[in-house]
Amino acid sequence: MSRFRKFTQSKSFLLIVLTLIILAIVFIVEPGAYNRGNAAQLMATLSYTGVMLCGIAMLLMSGGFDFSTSAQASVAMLIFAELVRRFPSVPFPIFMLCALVFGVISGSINAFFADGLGLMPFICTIGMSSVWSGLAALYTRGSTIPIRNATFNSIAAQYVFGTPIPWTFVFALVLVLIYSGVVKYTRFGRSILMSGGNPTAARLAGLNPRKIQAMLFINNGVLAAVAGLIWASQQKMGSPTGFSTAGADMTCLTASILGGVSFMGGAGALGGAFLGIILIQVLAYSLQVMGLPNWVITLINGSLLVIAISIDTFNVRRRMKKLGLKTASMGGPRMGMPGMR
Amino acid sequence: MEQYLELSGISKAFPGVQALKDVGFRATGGKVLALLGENGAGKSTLLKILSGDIKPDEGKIVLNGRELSFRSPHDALKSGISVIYQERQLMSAMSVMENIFAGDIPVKNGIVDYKTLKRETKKIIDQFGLPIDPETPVMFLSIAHQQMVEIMKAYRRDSLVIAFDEPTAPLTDTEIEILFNLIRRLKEQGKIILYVSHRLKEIFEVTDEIVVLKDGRFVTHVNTAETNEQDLIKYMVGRDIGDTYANLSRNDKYGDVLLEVNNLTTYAVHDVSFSLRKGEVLGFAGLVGAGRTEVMRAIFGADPIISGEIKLEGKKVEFKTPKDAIDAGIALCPEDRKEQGLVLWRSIEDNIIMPFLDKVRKWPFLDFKKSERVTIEAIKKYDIKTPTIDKIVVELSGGNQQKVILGRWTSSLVNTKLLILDEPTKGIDVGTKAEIYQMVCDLAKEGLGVIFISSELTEVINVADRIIVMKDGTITGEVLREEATEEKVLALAMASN
Repeated sequence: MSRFRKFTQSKSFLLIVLTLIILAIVFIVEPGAYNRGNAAQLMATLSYTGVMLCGIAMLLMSGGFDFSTSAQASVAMLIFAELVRRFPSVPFPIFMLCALVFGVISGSINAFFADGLGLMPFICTIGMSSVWSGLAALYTRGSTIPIRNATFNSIAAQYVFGTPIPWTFVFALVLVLIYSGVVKYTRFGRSILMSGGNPTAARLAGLNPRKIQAMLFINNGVLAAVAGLIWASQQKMGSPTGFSTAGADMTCLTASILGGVSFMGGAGALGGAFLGIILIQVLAYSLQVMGLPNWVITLINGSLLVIAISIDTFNVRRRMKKLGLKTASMGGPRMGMPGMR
Repeated sequence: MEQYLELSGISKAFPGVQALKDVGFRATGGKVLALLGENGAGKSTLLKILSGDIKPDEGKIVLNGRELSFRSPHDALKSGISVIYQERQLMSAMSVMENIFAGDIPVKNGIVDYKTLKRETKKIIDQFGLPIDPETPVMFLSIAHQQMVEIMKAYRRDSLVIAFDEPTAPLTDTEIEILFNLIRRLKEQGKIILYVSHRLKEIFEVTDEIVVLKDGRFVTHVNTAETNEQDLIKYMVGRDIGDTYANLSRNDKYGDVLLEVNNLTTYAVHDVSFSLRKGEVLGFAGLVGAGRTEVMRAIFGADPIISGEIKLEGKKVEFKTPKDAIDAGIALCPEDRKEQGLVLWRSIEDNIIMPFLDKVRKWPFLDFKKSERVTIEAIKKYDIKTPTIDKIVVELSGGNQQKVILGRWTSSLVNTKLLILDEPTKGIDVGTKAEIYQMVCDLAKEGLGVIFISSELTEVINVADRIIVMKDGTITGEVLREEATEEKVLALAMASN
C-alpha cells in the first residue's frame, strides 16, 4: 500500500476531513464568522488545551489517567496570581517557577498513590481533583484573583508577525511536536508504549513500568501548571473554577481517544490526538458562533467521548473476531490495541 | 435409544484462514471422543461453533435426530451442550453455589432461596465427592477445584454434551486423576463427551475414540484402543516425525560452573541449592505449585530473596530487579507467554527489542535500522512464520509467539549466558515442540546454561541432561537423564517428606 493510501485510511485523515467539513458548513451558514477575532480566540483555547494534551496523552499511553489535571492547573495559577498580588515588586517569573514547582509536587502526589502504593490511577486522581478544587475554593472563597502585572498579561496577547496566531499557540505546537517525537523515536517513548501495553511483561523484560508512569504523572502536573499560566495570562486572573467548568482535561481525554491513543495504554501517537483537539474546539467554537451558549463544549465532549470509545471498542472486537479470539478472555490489555493509525 | 451428536459438512472461514473445511463426525453417548490436532487444526473453532459462540458458514449439527442452530451461547446451553473452556468462565467473587446455579437460582416468593440453593449444591458436590464448601467464593478455590465447579455447572444443567478444552493444562497429576474419574462417571451416565488435549498420554488414558483434524480438515476417526502414539502423530503432522527425542542432537561438552544457588529461601521456596554448568540443560520437574517458577523468579530478581546466595560464574550476585539480572546475562521466558512474556498488541520488532532499547540507540533516537536487522535475524534463525516484522504478536500462533521470546533473548544485542525456560511448550503443537527441543540443545551447544521447567514428565526427562525435582518449595531429588524414568521422577515429585 502506498504511503498516501495508508494516510487516507488513517484516523488523522478522518479527523482532518471532519474538521474541514465543519469549517465549510460554518462558512456557508455564517460567513461572517470568519474573522480575525474568532480565529485568535480559537487559537487561544488550543494553546492551553494543547499543552495539557501532551501530559494527558502520554499518561494514557502508559495506562494511566489523571482526572485532577484541571484542578492542578487551577491551583497552579491561583498560587501564581496570589503571589503576584502580595509581592508586586518581585519579578513575576519567580512566581511562574513556583507554579511549576507546585505541578511537580501535585504530580508526585499522584505518582505516589498510583505507582508507589499501586492504587488505581482513575480513582485516586478523582480524589485528588476534589482535594485541589476544594482547597482552591476554600482559599479564594470561590472568587477570582485578578492579575495586575501588565508584562505577564501581555504574554498571551503577542501574535506572530501580524497574524491572528498567538505565540502561545506556537509554543503548544512545538510541545506537541517534541512529545510526538519522543513517543515515536526515542527509547523512553517505546518504553512507555511497551509498559502501557503489558506492565508485567515489560517488568520481566527489564523495564520499570511504575517509574515510567510516575515520571509521566509529574510531567502531567508540570504541563497542567503551564496550561494554567497560559490561561491566567489570557484571562488576566486566576480562577478556582475556570478549568473545571471548561472541562479541559476531559476534552484532552476525548481528543486522545479520537486520535488513536488507547485508553487502556500501549498505543497511540500525539499528532492524532492534537488533530482530535482541533476538531473538538473547532466544532465547539462553530456552534458558539452559530448562537449556541459556550457550555455546549461539555455536551460535545461527552458525545464525542462516547462515540469515540464505541468506535474503538467495536474495531477491537471486529479485529479480535477475525483472529478467532474471545473478546472477554484475552490476556493483557483488553482494549489496548493500536486502532487505525 | 442411542444418544448421538452428529456434525456434518462444517466449514468456517476467517479472513485469510479456512479454519474448518467440511468437517464431520459422529459422537455417541457413553463414550469419550478426543479431538486431536496441532495448534491451528481447527479444534477450538469447532468447540466455539458447538458452544454457539461463532456461527459456521456451512454445515449441520444434529443432536439425537434434531438439527440445531444457535444464535447465541445461550441457545447452545438450552439445547444441552456445555463447553468447558481452558479459561474458566466463573464469577470469581460469587460463591460456589451461585456459580453452579447461575441463570437458574431457586427463588421463593421472589426472594433467592438460599436454603434450597445450598442443599442442592451440596447434593451435587457430594455426588462428585469433593471437599468444597458451597458458600466459598470461587476465587478462593484452587484452580483444580474451580475447574470442578465448571464441570458441576454443566452437570447441574443436565447437559447431554460436555466438551472439555484442554482441561488438564493447569492441573497437577493428582488433580488430573480426580478429573478423569469425573469424566468416567459422566461417561457411565451416557453423556456425550468431547475432549480436546495436546497430551497424548491422557488421550490414551481417558478416551474411547479419536478424531484427528489437520489444517481445518477431517483426517481420521479411530478407536483409541486400535491406535498408537506414532500413528497419531503421523496423522496430526502429516509426516512421520519418528521419535522426537531420539533424533535430538545434544551437547555433550560442559564448561565451567555457570550458576550456583545456595540455600535460597523466599516466601515460596525453602533452602534450595543447585548448580548448573555452561552447556548443560537442567530440567526442573514437579507438580504445578511445587515452587519451580518461584525459584526462577528469585534468581531473576523478580521476587525478593529472604536468605541464601546466588553465584554467577563464581561471583556472588544480588539482583534487585529483572533489569539487573538481564544486564548480567540471565534471560527468562516466563510461564505465561501472553500475560508475562509479550506485549500482545505490539509488533514482533517491538517485542524483540523491548529489553535492549538502550542498545538500539543512536542518541537521542532509536536506531530503527539496527532494530529491524536484529528482528529479521531472529525471524530467520527461528523460522518465525510472519509476512512482516510489523505484525502484532497477537496474530501469531502460540509456537511462533514462543519463538519471538526465544528470539528476543538470543539476539545479537545481548550476551545471554543463562536461559531460563518456564513451560516453553505449553499449548504448543507437536511439530513446533520438536523444533523448540532442538533449539534448546543448540543453545546448549553454543555454551549457554539452560534451565528447562516442564510439567510434562516425558518432555523434561528426555530433553534435560539432569533433572531436579521439587515439591512444596523444596528440592526432593535429582536424577540424570540416563537413569530417569517417569515413575522415578513422579515418585520424587509426590514424595512425602
